[in-house]
Amino acid sequence: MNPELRRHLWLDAQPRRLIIGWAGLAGLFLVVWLIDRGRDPHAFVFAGGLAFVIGALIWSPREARAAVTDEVHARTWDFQRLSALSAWSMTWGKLVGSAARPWAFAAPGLLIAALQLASISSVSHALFWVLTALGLGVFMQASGLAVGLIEIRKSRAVGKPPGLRSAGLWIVTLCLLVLGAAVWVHTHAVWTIHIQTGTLTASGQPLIWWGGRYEPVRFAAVSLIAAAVLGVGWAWRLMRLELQLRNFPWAWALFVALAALYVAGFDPPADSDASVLEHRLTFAGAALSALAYLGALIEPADRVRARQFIDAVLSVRPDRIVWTAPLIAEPTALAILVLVWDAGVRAGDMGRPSALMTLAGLAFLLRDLGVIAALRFGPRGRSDATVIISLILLYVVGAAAGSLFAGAHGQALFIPSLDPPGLSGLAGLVEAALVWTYALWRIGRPAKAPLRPPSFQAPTEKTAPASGEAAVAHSEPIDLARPTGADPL
Amino acid sequence: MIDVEALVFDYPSSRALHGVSFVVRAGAVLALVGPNGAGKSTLMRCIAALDTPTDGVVTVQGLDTQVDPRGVHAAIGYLPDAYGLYDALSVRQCLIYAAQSRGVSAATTPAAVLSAAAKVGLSDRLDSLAGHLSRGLRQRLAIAQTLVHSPRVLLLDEPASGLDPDARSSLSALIRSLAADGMTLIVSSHILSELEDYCTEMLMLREGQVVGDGVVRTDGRKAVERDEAPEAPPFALVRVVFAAPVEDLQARLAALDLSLERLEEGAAILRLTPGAEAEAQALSALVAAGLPVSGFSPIKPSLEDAYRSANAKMTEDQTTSDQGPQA
Repeated sequence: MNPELRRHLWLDAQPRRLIIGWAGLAGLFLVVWLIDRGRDPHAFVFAGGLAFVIGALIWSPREARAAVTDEVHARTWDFQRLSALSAWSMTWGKLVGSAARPWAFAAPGLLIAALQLASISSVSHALFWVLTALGLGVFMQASGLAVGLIEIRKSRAVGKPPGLRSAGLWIVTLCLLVLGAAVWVHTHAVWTIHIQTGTLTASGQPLIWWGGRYEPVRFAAVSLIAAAVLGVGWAWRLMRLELQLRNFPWAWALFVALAALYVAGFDPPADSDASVLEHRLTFAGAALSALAYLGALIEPADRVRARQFIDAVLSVRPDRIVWTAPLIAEPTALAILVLVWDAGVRAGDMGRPSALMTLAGLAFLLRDLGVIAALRFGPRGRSDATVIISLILLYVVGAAAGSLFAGAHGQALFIPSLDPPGLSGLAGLVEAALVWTYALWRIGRPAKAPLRPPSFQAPTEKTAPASGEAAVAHSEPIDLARPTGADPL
Repeated sequence: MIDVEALVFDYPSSRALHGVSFVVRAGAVLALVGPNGAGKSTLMRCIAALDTPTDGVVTVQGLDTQVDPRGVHAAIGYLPDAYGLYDALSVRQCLIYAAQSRGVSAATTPAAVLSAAAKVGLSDRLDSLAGHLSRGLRQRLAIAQTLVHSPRVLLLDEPASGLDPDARSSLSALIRSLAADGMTLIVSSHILSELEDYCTEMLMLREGQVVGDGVVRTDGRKAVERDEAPEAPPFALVRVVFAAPVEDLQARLAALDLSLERLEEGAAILRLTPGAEAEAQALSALVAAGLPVSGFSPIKPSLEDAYRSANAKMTEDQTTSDQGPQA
């Protein structure tokens, strides 16, 4: 058995803990039965679904995250990193092991819900939802582990332990809710019929993706399962980094390109003014920009590595550039290409203002990435929340102040605007240049205070030998912990 | 066994290691000493392939830490200064996990667990929870976890920190027995006297740089460098204690052709050719000359002596370099 899985089972899958979980599950079904009294055949589907949501979508990702962050807090993470387990064994051992208790709670709920659904609709329908639920569960679980690994890498870069709460998991959950809401809005009529009849007969608008017509719920389910596979792959790559293995740098570039192609595949609505090409380029540009923001926020603020990248660029060493490139490099470079192309197409089809608006958006993307770098690589390493709030304030307060003092022209200095055409793009570029200059200066400059806290006792004149001075013979043992005037690291 | 070459490590705030180079031969017990902030822990983490150096190469048992970090992880045992244990697991479970996660097969795990527990004196505690152990026993369990897979290299960062005298004594005995088994050890500590019992060589770091001649033996001589043959020891020290003050002692010793290292109150430290024969000749010469000898004992050079010597050399070097531009 995988040693990591077995350790988790020793710690978590103790009979007493499992029985408590099953008693809670039985209580949930009992409450639903007492309320419903068998009137609605969907009541147990709801109860089982709720147990699945609690166990697999809320509890399990937190346990997966804790499978690495708790090791850091308990000071056992280095011990695990020194094991001979492969990155894959460590990844699946942690994913399955940390999921033992939550899934012991969620799986019976899902099974009861599936059996009830099969009895009131069809087996294939129930299997579809089980498969979708499993994809969702695995995606959330893998995201939990990935978020934990990102947190420990980021915290190590700034010399702090990872926090007890995870904003990353909330963001992943929020993204899923937004995706779910988008699917629901797209297929509202169909969705209602599903719940009532338990069938998957599509009667609403089909989804058109790269010219193919797909039933939206099925499309979302398949996308979710693909995301689950990618999520596990993501966690595995992060685990490799933690185990000091180097990742092939083109994998991220490939993912970025595939994500852009996936998003660009959605055809424009029939009433859209933009051509299909413009629509695809805009969507791809938006996806690439989103990935650039994501990369800027999730990468550790490691100034040493950033300096190595800058050195590699300045000394024109392509191999070093590839291996030390930050996560924002690929999506930003592709976003520039795609959005400039988009602006060119728009200038021909829709006129100059539309093209200038696209370029203004690109300029503000570059500025925002600079702001994120300046704040995260600063002397105190600002938190993600501070960075995001600062960006929002820059847009909201900046635009309001600009509007107050200089009307539409002032507002155009802080948000992409067409009043007057071109000013926003120019302002965004100037701001990007300024903020990136500042960020690069920050990266190159040593920190004001040591990022590793100094330890041990304060200096005492009586026992402190001056730096470089030979320790004199004395009867007590020589204690090198006594201060020497050397800078603590 | 361990070869560190031009190792540089940067923290965002400062450079922790400035081109550190040294070699640790197989079977050595190296004391890694230096004040806080000298870079000892950083150096150990680089050797353990837990941190990636900015520049330079570290090889352990011929494995490059950057090319094959997992190979290095499997080949060594490393106990950091701040370590944790799985308090809810028993000692046996901790050791089983440690063994199997380090590649020990399921068939040989029970024997490896029993062997590691016996080495650290935990055979009678196998079914105790780790969280119920005293600090000294936790330290033993942590060490047992690092050696359950029989590594050839063991890195111990401040292993005696926080231990009581009895536990320190047990730790010394354990390290001596591991060294006797042929294991190569690097042990860091602030307290030189606790390294005294078992270290054969010393490397002193200060402000991220190697002080003095690099790895030195505890007798003060430079240790074997890459591809060098071991050198013969040049001299041994003996302490001669006199029952009464001796007038003109230095001249009388010189007349006997005995070289004086230094004088202490009521005693003289002499340099002799190593070996029992030279010691016997010196003693009979002293007695024959009528000197009131009341004690004659060989001195095992201490780590503190080596530390003082390295420190003095560094001070001398600094003084020379400071005066250089003025001259």
